[in-house]
Amino acid sequence: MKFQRIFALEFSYQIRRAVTWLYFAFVLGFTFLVVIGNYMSDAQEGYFLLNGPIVIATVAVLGIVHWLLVGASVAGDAATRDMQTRMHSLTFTAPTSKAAYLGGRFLAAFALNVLILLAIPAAILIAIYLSGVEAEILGPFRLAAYLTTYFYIVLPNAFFATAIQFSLAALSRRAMGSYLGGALLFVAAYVFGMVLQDTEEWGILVDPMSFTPVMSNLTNWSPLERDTRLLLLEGSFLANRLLWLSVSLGMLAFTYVRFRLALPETGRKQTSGKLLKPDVATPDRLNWGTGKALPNVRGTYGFATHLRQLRLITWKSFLQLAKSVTGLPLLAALALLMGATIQGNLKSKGVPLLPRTDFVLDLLTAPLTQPEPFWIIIALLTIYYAGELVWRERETGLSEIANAAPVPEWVLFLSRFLAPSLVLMVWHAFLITVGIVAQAALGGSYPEIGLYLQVIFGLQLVDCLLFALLAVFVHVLVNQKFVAHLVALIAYSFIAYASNLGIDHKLFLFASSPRWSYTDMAGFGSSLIPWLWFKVYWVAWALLLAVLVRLFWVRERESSFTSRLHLARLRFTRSTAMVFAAAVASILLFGGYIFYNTNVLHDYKSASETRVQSATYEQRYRQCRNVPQPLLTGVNLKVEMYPKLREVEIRGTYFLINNNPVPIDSILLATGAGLETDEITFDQPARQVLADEEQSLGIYVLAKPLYPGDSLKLSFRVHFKAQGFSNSGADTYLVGNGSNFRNYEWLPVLGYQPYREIDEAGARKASGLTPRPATASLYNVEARQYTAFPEQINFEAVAATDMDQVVVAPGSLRRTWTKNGRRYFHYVSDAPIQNEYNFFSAKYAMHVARWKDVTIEIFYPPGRTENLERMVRSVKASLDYYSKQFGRYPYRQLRFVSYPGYGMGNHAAPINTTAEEGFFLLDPKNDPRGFDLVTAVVAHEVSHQWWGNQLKPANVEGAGLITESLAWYSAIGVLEEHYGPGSMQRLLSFLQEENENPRTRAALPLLQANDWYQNYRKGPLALYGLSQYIGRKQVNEALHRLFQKHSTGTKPFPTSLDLYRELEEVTPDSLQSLLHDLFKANTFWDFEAEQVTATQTKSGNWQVTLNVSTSKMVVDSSGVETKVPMNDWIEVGVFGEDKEGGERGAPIYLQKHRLRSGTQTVTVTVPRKPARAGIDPRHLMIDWKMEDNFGKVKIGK
Amino acid sequence: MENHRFGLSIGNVSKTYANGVQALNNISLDIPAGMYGLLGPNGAGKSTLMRTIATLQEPDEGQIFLGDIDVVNQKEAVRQTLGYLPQEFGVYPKSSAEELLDYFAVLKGISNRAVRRETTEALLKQTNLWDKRKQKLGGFSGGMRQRFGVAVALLGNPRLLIVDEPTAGLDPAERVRFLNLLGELGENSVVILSTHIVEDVSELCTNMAIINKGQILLEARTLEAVAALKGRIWRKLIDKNILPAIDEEHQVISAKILSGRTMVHVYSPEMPGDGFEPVEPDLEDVYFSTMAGCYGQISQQQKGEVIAL
Repeated sequence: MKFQRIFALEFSYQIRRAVTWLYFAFVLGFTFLVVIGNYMSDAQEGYFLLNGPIVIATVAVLGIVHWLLVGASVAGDAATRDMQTRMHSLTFTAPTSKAAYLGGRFLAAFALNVLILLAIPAAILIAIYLSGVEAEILGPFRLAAYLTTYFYIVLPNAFFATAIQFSLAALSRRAMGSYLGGALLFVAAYVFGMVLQDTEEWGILVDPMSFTPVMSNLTNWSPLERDTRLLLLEGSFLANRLLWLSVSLGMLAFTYVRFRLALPETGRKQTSGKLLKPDVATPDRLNWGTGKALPNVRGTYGFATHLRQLRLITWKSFLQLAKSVTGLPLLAALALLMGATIQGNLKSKGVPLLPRTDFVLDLLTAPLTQPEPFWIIIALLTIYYAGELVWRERETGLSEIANAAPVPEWVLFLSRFLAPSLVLMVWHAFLITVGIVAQAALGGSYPEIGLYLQVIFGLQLVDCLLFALLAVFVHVLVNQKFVAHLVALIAYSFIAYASNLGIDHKLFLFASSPRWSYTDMAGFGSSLIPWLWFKVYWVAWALLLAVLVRLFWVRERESSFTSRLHLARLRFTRSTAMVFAAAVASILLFGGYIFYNTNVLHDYKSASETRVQSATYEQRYRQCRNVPQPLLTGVNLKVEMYPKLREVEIRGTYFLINNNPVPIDSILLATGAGLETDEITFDQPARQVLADEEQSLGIYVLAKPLYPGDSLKLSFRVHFKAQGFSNSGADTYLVGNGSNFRNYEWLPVLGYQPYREIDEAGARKASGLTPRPATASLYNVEARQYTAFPEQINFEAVAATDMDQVVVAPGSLRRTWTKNGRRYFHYVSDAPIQNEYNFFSAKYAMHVARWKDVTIEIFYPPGRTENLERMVRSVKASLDYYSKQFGRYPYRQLRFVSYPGYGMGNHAAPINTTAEEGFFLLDPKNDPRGFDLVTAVVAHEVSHQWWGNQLKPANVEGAGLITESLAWYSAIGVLEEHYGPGSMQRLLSFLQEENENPRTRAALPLLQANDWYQNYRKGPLALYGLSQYIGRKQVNEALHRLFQKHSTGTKPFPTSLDLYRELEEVTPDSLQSLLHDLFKANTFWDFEAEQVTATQTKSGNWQVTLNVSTSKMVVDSSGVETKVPMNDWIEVGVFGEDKEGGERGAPIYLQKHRLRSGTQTVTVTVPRKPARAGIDPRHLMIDWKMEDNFGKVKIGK
Repeated sequence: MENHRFGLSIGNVSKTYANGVQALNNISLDIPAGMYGLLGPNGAGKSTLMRTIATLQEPDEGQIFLGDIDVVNQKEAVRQTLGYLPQEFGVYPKSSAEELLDYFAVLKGISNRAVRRETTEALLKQTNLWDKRKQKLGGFSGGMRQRFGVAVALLGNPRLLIVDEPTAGLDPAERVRFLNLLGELGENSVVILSTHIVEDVSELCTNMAIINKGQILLEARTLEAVAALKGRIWRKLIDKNILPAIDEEHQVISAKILSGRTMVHVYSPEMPGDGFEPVEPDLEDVYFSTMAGCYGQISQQQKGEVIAL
């Protein structure tokens, strides 16, 4: 009876409050936006059906994770309202049992949260069925999808969250406890899942909100599964639910035991163990003084006093925040946690990087608009701090005394802003400490303290302080603590996710700006100026907010809007008006300047406008795609680079020839966007008949047609000068050090360019373009006429730069000289190159070596000498191996050229491979796997001089098999030949690592594959596997023939079918089916060594018996799995004692056996005592469950 | 003269809350330097008036002047010379008395560290908190906390001291001491003591007003108000059950239980007979007869008499 009353009272009390319904509206709105803003475009792109069960589940977990703070308010309020309102002296003394009291309150909170969370399915239904979503992206309505989501995710999560938050609040007797619980759950969902993503099972178990498992299912399930498979309680997901159910019940039980229906003061006194002296009022001890003795001191007032007041209030508020558990202790713990992730994150593909300060700083910082887990927590804490400080005096009941004190509003407000700012500064100081400690612990690099201070306190802190001001502003203006928390949270989500909602312009998004970047090579480059302008602009806004805060600061008792407005009018003094006017003027001034830069100097285009432009290009000019155009055969350039002025002038001549069987009378010429191209002249009379400025394109008609075999010269002038900055920052083409531009972006291009078309199906549909696959089909014969850079050109350039820099371009450096204080470089290609090249200018250090008549040059960032020898050795080995196996290297140089950036990427343009700065920080010596990524990547890139630059595949499905797969396969050969089988095995293991990352099995066969995994990992492994069946020599012979036939660059361009044909040629009949399984079907094998035993024979040999089970299946691109009967030659291996460190011992036996599907027994005899044995031990087949291929040998009698 | 300069004059102040309650209805008062008692039952509008004078609330209409300072529009100037002890207040439980008093001393503009130490020490001694100055305020009893509030209110030697129901949490001895302290302070400041305890006013305040339902019922010098009732208050010890009958016949202003019987005071310009005996009036009788609506009659009569003279 009492239980029911308590429940009913709590429930009806909270449900009558407006804020409860605000929470409902928040969850509803947020979930709706997640569906519409986040997932609808993915569905339109064809990734999944919008109402696929896993999509609904994903939306639900996202909604729930963001609901946590709302739930905290409900649970915390139910648990502690009596204590907060001091009603507990009435309720606790009433004859109520603890069970009824706690139980009623808890269940009421749970019921309310369940009610609020009904907003999630409601929002999903509204978004899907009532907001005009097109029927094409929807599957049939399935009630089960909603029910499983609600009962397996929403309801349990609501229970876990409410139980944990309620318990923490009840035990701490403060509503704050439940917020702490909310934050913990949030961290567990977001951060731990991310930190533990390598150990997936743990990531799933530890996440109470099941955020990690659901999100990973969305990415890992096949398209078919995404659209149809229900999320069921099974496996580790079930374990997760059970684990957290028991944790929740345990928390509730603990709360029941520990909670005491007693007054908090008495409770606290006893725990502190201090007994107060009874305050017995004996009259003579109450010897109050008399008025005569009153100090006759009066306050002095003025600015100095106000500053002193500001200092004091700020300091006291800071101490209050800092000393609380959610203050510095929590921040210190977060910093430690963040520090602990540095080593794990400072890696590229598992290879540690030298912990250079700029890279560590990149890990430690994040702008407000691109939230990363730790920074999300900081933003939430900032909101919380602001709320605590704004409400502190009112909550303790000291506000009337304090507000009657002669302290101006600006001091009251500013102190509440400065105190959390100080806390945030300490957090930033923690970050610096953590960064320096991590650098020292990892070794190999010196902390640059100055840079830390500059970046952390000069840049990162600004975002934090701007947001802190916003949080104070919201709290003061809203003047309802929990509603303000919610409003601030919404504001933050809006800032963080605005780009998903189509708000791109940074003038509209509080505190946002283009990102700064700092790397050792380029420094801040051009990134700081735009950052600064935007921040100054937002500081002006902050000043305006500050004025508003002052005007609306709550000091009086009344809080109605009209009375606050009235007061604001009274407070709007002359000086306030002046500050207000200054803020508005600054906003207009800086905003105007920014707008001038982003929208006048630069062409500001939102994502949709860019799409329209691309669509227009296709609609207007696709008709020209088969109009014959002259072929580019030679380029002659005079390039004047002015890095300090951020300016380039290029005068160029194109040598063109009509290689078509028909005369050409008109030329379609596109020029670079964002720069000037003029003085376009042909060496024959021609006139421009069309000038499309929007598309930077013109059509010229030749007075006399260009007959087949005739040639034509085209001259032009290109001028680029970096103009201010755009919405995404300043151009990085020309910077003080580390300039770099590519011909395709800047120089004129002839003919229709298919690569400018929109590829995504959804975007094509939205733009009214005819549907086509994103990549042309392998069997589309017409598409074999196109490749990315079809022309082979003779290249010649004279390029100049500042005295202290070097220009790098393709070809031999014929001569270099200085003139007028500038350095000139004359480059000429020795043999035609593919029409793709960069010009670099930087203060490079240079490392030179030779291989036969080829000069190897590495232009590296000065000081980064760690890997140079390694790179050179790999280049030499590669040149040697590839020229023997596939064909001659046609040039007399091979260069690696660095450019500034945080990445490690390489790109093999002809002769010059570009390498991002991070590549030179790789530290393979400290790779725990002993794997040398640098050597392998260099071998891979050099291999592209054959696969990609000489042999150019048609732009159709499976092109990556020819470029990337062959490049890796060739690199495997280099490692085996020049570095030994151990190195090669480590590369193979590295490539195989990717098999363990969960992903869907649904895919096209290798011959048609376009995705990264298939091109870069499965492809080379399949080729290697094949080479172990038919012989490396045979495979290389096929590649050699492919290269000889197609490296001339004539149309039609080769496809993976040509590769397949050559492989068929060298494959014996008995293995043709294997070739088919590997390349023409998406085949998966599954091998398992169930039991391995060995007995010693009388002759002293060992007889090893393996009980193995095998199966094979084919998976299509939508995920349909078909078991196929297996009858394949599979390796069986027996290995000796493990080496030290647990590595597998040397093979004693390795032979192929013909195996069928199902379980079977294999018996082999070996001469020595075996330790391990297994099936397909070298993983030559595609089997993602690799670890069960082996078994430890049990020695029998 | 100086007293006059720092008097508080309240003119036609009205205040209606958003929920329709009219807390102050056209209130005008002249409060000279010295102790001024504001008497009234709970909910009479005392606290609203106190908060309005203490710059924490805006009147809908009317002006308030402290000397030359316009209280409504020059809040900052008022605050610089204001001491305010609200009816209810809390403290930071984890701060010590000394620490928090020092904090408020800075807020009240006492910047010099040495002066501040001297001031806080004097105030802590005066409020008998010196021995407990290091103790956390969270462990203070109601009386100690009240004394601490007094110390805060007295910081900076305020010329306007507003104390709202200050004696509510004090034990009898503390109350006496506190009132003495206030009395001495009242010599050169305006001290407004808002209370519903009649003795507080009768013992200390030269001037007083009685407020009920947002209106001033009586504004007078305390002694004169008592004197004016001389010969008009009568008492009788009766059985409880005949109280209704007495109430019908006479103007009963108060009835108290006295050892099982009821002592009634009635107002009557003449001898009521019926066994009533005259009684020397005190401020409580002034209060009750004002609340009963009788006092207004004599003050008008008296005024009439004055004019007739």
